[in-house]
Amino acid sequence: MKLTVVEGLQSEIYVPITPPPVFTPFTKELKDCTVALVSAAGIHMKSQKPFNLAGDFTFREIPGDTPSSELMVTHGGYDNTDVNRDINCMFPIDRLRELAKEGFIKAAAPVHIGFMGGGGNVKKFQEETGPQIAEVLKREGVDVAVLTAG
Amino acid sequence: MLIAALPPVAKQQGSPRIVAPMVPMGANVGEPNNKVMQTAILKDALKALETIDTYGKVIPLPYEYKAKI
Repeated sequence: MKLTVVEGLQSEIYVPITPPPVFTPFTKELKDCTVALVSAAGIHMKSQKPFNLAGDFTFREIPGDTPSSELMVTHGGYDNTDVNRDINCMFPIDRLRELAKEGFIKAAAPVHIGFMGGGGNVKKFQEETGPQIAEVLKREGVDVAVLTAG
Repeated sequence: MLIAALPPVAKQQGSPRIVAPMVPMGANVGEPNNKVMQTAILKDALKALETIDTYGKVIPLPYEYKAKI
């Protein structure tokens, strides 16, 4: 059967394209790693500017010593009920500190990152926001980033 | 390392390392106020760093939380 009916015809429906692989081998031991949280779940400090629900490619730096009670969510793309009850179910900052105390990891990072995924300007996210976040994590000596999204 | 509630989407988007507990979107690290479950998910996510050796792998995690909607 011939599948092409008209040469050069393109679909009007955009389909997502999986980006090329990025894979950094993990060479350290967990007990020697500084771990940061990076979440697309719209997490920020109550004192910081909330995200724009219509689409927002900015991110917030959350100092490592921020009490979980000082965090909140601004994200219109998922049901916020659970995360409003306990921020740790999307941004496990208390659990991470406990793992550091236990010695499972070396330390919780001096800074964590919150942004609002689920759409917006994907090109900006890819070309600006993502690299900027990576720079912050490098600056702060982070070995591992644990992400919550999707 | 990504803790995903929607692993097929996470994989399609190109996440290099994915763990997937059985959780709804909005509670990726487990049930609210369930310290035992959250700790287990976070620990297993970190441990998976030592076992995942190729790009795009999804490791299912044996923890389940169903939100009451």
